[in-house]
Amino acid sequence: MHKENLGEKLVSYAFFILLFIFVIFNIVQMNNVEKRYIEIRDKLEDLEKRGISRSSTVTTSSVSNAPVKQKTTVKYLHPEVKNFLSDETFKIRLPETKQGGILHRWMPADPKSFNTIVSNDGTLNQYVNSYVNSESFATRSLDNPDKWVKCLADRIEITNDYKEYTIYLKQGVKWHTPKVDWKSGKYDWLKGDHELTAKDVKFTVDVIKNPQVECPALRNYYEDLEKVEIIDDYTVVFKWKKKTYNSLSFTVGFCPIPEFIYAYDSDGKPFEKSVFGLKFNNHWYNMKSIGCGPYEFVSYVQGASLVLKRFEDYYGEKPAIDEIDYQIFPDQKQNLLKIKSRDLDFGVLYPTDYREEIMNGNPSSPFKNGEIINKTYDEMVYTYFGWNMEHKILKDKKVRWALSYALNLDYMLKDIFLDLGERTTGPIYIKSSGYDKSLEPIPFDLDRAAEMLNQAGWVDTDGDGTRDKILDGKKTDLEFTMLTTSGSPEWDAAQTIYKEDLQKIGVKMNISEVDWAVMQKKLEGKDFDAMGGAWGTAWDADPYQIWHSSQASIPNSSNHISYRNPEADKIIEKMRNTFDQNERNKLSKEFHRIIYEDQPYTFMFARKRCAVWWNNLERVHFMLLRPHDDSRPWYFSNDKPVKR
Amino acid sequence: MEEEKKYKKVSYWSVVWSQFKKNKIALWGLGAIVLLLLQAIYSPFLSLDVPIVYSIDGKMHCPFLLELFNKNRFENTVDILFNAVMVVSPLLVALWFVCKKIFSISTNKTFVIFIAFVILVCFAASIVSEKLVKIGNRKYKEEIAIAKSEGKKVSAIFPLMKWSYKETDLEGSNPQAPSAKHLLGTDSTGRDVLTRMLYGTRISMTIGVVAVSIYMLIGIVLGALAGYFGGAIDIWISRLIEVVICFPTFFLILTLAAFIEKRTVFHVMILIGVVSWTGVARLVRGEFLRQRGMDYVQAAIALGISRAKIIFTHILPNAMGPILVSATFGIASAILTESSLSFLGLGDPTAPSWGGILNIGRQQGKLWLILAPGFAIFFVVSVFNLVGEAIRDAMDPRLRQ
Repeated sequence: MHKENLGEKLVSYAFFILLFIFVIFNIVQMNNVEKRYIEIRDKLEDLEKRGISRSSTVTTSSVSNAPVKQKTTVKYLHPEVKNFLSDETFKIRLPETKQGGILHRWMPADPKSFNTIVSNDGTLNQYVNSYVNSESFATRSLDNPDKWVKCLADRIEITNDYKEYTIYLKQGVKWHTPKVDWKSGKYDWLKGDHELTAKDVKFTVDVIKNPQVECPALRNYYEDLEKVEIIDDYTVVFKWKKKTYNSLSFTVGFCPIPEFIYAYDSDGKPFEKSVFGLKFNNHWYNMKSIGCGPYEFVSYVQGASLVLKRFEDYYGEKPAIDEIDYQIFPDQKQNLLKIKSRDLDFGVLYPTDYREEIMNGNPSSPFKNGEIINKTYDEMVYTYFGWNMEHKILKDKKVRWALSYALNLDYMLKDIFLDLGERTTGPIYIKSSGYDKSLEPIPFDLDRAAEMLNQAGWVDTDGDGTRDKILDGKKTDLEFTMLTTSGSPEWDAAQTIYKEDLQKIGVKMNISEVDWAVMQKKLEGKDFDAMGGAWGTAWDADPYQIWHSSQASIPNSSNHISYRNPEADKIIEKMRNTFDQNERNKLSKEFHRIIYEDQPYTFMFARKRCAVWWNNLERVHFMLLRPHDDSRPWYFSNDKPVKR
Repeated sequence: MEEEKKYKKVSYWSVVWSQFKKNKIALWGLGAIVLLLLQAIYSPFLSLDVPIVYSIDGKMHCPFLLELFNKNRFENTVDILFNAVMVVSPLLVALWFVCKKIFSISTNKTFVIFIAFVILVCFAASIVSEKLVKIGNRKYKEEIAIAKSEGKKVSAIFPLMKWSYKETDLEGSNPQAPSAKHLLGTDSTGRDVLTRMLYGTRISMTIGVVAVSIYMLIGIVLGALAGYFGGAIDIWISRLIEVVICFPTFFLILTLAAFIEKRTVFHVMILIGVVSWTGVARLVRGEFLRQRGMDYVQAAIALGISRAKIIFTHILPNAMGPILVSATFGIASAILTESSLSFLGLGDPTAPSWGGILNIGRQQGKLWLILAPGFAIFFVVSVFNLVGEAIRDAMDPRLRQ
């Protein structure tokens, strides 16, 4: 009895001692965290005091009138080579457009950093960078994206081996005026006009190549860049080690950043070389944006608003709208309400809102009586069901074709996806010239699917309703699991219908809905039978990352279905060394056909979205390229929308 | 002799029952629960896409019985189990009456054993039949329609409605509004909502009973150990309870559910069971602490009866009252939890759960898809709460009339 008591006591003492230790540990940890928190808070406050106190800023008056440089005449290094760039045929500004007005738009999330090199933020790219600091040497034409047109550069000469690019910059391209507290006198070193020169280009390349700078993905693209030479203030030469198509698009589409601000700390001292990268990552100007685009950054209040103003010294065609005013809030319902109350001039509807307002809307609502105009536009995204090519059943091409025939996509598009999409047959952007339009979307045909399965040897021998076949000496049922992320009603419904249809032809599909994090892990580990997903594409995308067989054996690669086809590999590799656009389109179509015949994915839809805007906003034109809702050509015809 | 008749032996439970009977609303509630159970069991007679009997050119077919155990038609094990109950229990009830007539045995104990026997037989039947029944995925409605169009003589008796709960009707634009074809309309993939509601009763009932059984079992065992032995065991179990209580139950279930890859109804039951046993454990512990010092327990200890026997046959029956009450409320809350999980899209994606229908209704903004399951959930939860309250009042000696 005595012993037992002792044991009990010991246990409880031990327990309390353990608890005590934990408490002490906890207190120490808390202390550390608090210290760190105070440090960060002080820094932030400091930043705010220095930066965002916009009210006291006087911008134009304090800029001294530096003598404007005389334009120099340019000597071409290779006058015999034809200019790679052509003129833009798309007019941003029509002569009759009325200037003025503030465009109110929605932004769903706060940007983490405005520094385009360090952060790669989709929201930021779409809403801010494309207006402020995405000016590159040349861009794809808005009319015909197969062509490159002049932007920052007037002329680009490319040598025959596609290794040397000579770029002639436009003269007189001005950087925006930095948004700093001019009154304090601290920023006098920034005064004056700053012009884009070859120095900025060289500086940007150095930044990207600096291993301390946090841009591994971007740096990867410039790995083969041998060197950049400055010939004079407006002429730069890019020299590459290898001839690849990527080097063309990354040279011509190169987007410089201003040296006069990013090379210095807030006191105007240049960063030391040894710590340059680290300083650059946390640059003092990172929460503001600067560039040479058609709009300049005015102010940003976290979680509330972001304002852009037209840059009057812009070198190109100036857009008509004076100011773009973003309201920042995450809620989708609020977005709809603000569009309705005209707090927002333009917005993009979510599918549920699209159904409620446009499809089943009240006839007297502004969406229906013509006050708010709506239009669907193509997004560069396609959805698909992917089949794991290493799965014992799904590696058979006939089975994959049968599964494609059993997917009732026309019904799904109409009733579930609300016609917000278009049937697609391959991984190429449906509007691009590399997309083979002669390939027919696969029709819904259960009889044909059943017949194909019979041909492939899948027959229901034991009468349990599921087809089976002897594989590796073992009887296997035709059964697989479809992996998707949970929480999307459209995918839920599509899977339910697919499952029922498959059961009719004796195929058993299980549904596994998981969290996005779990799904990613499974895809990376290639631990799945089939999966549903979506890819974003580009105008002239390099299929290497998703479809090349070398990517199939790498863990964490985008080729998670392990697609391997030597024929496709050949075309992909050839495309990387082909520069003629017609030749590229031909190869792309060939590649499209191979993928179509292999059916490694059952391609579903090229997705569309529905944009809405009040009817005083005119010439709302949707671009073929991202950002599709680029507002530069738009203008306001009236202050108020017309009542109908 | 007369004396004995006057003072009839009155057991504790018969007192409780007589008290319970005085509460009219609770009696209605109890009736409703029985009706719901019967509806759950006999759903295939209310709606299924298999004819009970049909004849083509004078040839009779009766596929109904076998189809009840067809894995292709009823993919949830819950359904097969209920179908087994439907088929087996009438036979066994008849058997029991016969036995009662012949052997004249009718004590409470044999009744409990009989119920256990029925459940066991049903389990066995469902498991065995799943392995044995191998019929494909026949479309009787289409077969009959084809036979009719070929001019054959066809007659068929269907259940009240001709829909299976997972059959997709893609002929109209879905979700279809209520009509003669679909009395409560369809959901976004064309499945008949009324049929799904009927089969949803099965899911809700099973969730309620099984989840509560799981956590009752855990709670009673741990609570009894803590209460009876006290000391270090009590300290550890109590701390364990406190740790589990610290987590907000619903969020814990949500998080766990998100990480199960192929969620079925049973996963949801186990989740609810594993997470919500703490209340019962504390209740039982308190009850045991109180009972342990009583004379009958001391007498049992003095008689040298084993500890297990004292715990489970002496103290536990006396502590059963409050446990029963909390179980009744538990069923209601388990049904609610499952509905919330399905509503958030974290339930079994294939099961016809009421919460799932509600979720589709919210997405589509259709009234019938919201009202029907909403009312069903409200009804079941309030019925169980009413009965639970009545049992609690009936057991309370201070409220005895």
